[in-house]
Amino acid sequence: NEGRKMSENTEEVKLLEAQIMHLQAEIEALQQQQQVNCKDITFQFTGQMQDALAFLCGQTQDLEEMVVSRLKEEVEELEEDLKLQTRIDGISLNSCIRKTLQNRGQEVVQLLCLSGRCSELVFQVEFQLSEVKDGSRTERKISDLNLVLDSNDLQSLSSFLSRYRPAPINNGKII
Amino acid sequence: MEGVSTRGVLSHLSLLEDQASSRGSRVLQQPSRVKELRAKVEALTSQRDQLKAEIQTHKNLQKLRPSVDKRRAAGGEEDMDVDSESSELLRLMARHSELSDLLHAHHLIGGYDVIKTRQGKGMCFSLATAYEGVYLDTYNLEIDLRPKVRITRHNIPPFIPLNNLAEQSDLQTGLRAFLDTVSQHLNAFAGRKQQLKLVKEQHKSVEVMESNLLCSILVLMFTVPKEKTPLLCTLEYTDHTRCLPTRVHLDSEDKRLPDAPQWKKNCSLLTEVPVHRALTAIRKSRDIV
Repeated sequence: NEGRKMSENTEEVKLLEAQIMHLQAEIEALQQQQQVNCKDITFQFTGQMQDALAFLCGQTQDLEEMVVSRLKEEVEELEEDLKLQTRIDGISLNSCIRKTLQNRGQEVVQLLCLSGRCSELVFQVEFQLSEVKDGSRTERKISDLNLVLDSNDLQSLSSFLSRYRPAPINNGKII
Repeated sequence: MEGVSTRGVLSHLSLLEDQASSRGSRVLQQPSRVKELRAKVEALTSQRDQLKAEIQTHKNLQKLRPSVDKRRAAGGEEDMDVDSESSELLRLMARHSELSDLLHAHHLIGGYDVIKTRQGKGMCFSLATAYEGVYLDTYNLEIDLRPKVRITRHNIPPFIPLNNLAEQSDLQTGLRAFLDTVSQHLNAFAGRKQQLKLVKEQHKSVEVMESNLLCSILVLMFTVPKEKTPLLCTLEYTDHTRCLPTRVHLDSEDKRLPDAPQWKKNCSLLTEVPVHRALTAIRKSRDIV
C-alpha cells in the first residue's frame, strides 16, 4: 500500500510538473502577444484608463460604479478640452485613426488617418509620423502625406504637399 | 544457537525498521513536494488568466474603435458587437481613447495646444515650430482672460517683439490672429536658425563670421577657387516673418568679383532658396570651394 501511495505521488508530481511546463509555455506566448499590444500607442494607458483596465482584469478591489464614474468624469473633461481646441483651431475633426507601424524604443513610427472639416471644406488626410527621441527633444517628421479634398483648387496646396510626398502632384483629386 | 538466531532476527528486524522509516520519510517528502508544485501551478494559472484577460480587453476595445486595418479591409460598417459584462465601461474606454486620439491629432496638425489654467480664468497655448518637415522647439504662452485678455507668462525669446505684436492685434477680439502672427514670427526664426545650423554642418569650407540671436543677419566668408580670394557675403533678413533674406551683399578685395555675372546670379539665388541649399548649388558650380 505504501508502494502504491508512492507511485501515485510520483504520478501526481509528474503530472504537476508537466502542467507547469505547459503553463510556462502558454505564459510566454501570451507575454509576447502582450508586448505587441503594448507597443501600440493606443494601448499605452495612464490614469483612469489604467484603473479601468485593471478592473476589467480582476486586479482591483474597486467597485464597478466607482471605476465607471471616475472614468466618466475624465471623459467629460476630454470632451470639454476637445471643444475648446476645436474652437481655437477653427478645425473640426471627426475621426482620427492611429496605427503604430514601428516602435523601437527611441523611434516610433505611426500611421495617422484624419477626417474633418475646416470652414466649409471637408477633408481627409493620411500621413506617416516618425518621432525620434534625442535627449530631451523629440524630432518629428511627416512623410507620405495623402490628402483628399472636396475641391478642384489644389494648385495652391501643391507646394505644401510636395514637401511631404515623394511623387509629383497631378491636377484633380489626390488619393 | 538461539542467541545467534535471536540476534540475527533482531538485526533483521532493525534493518526492516530502518528501511521502513527511510521509505516513510520519502513518502513524507512527496506530499510537501506536491504541495509546492500545486502552489506553483496555482500561481502560474493566475498569471496566465491575468494575461488572457488583459489581451481580451484590448481585443474588445479594438472592436469598439475603428482601425486602419479594418477600414482598409472591410470598408463597411464596423462590428460593434461586444459580448462582455462591463460594456458600459468598455464603451467609456473606447470614447476616452477616441477623444485622446482626436486631441493628439489637433496637436499634430499644427493648431495651438491649449489647456485651461487657473480654474478656467486663463489659457496656456503651445506654439510649435517646424522647418522642412522637422519639428523644432515649442514655445508656451499663458494668457489671462479676466478681467481682460492679457499675456501673463511665456517663454518666447525677448528678440521676438511680443508686446508690440500684442498691441497691433486686438487681443480682446482677435486672439487667434495674434497667435497666428506670433507663430509666424517664431516659425520664421526657427527656420532661419535651422538654416544656420545646416550651413555649419554641410558647408565646412564656408566660415560663419557673424550672426545674431534673431538670425536676421548672417555674414559668411567664402573662398573663391583659383587665387583663394576671400569673399564676404552678408545676408539681411529684414522681414522677420520670412526665412529668406531680403538683401544679399558681397564684399571683396577684388572689386570686380561682386559684379561678375556669375555672382549676380548667385546673389539672386540666395534670395530665392534657403541658404544651405543655395550654397550646395554654388559649390557645385565651383564658384566657391
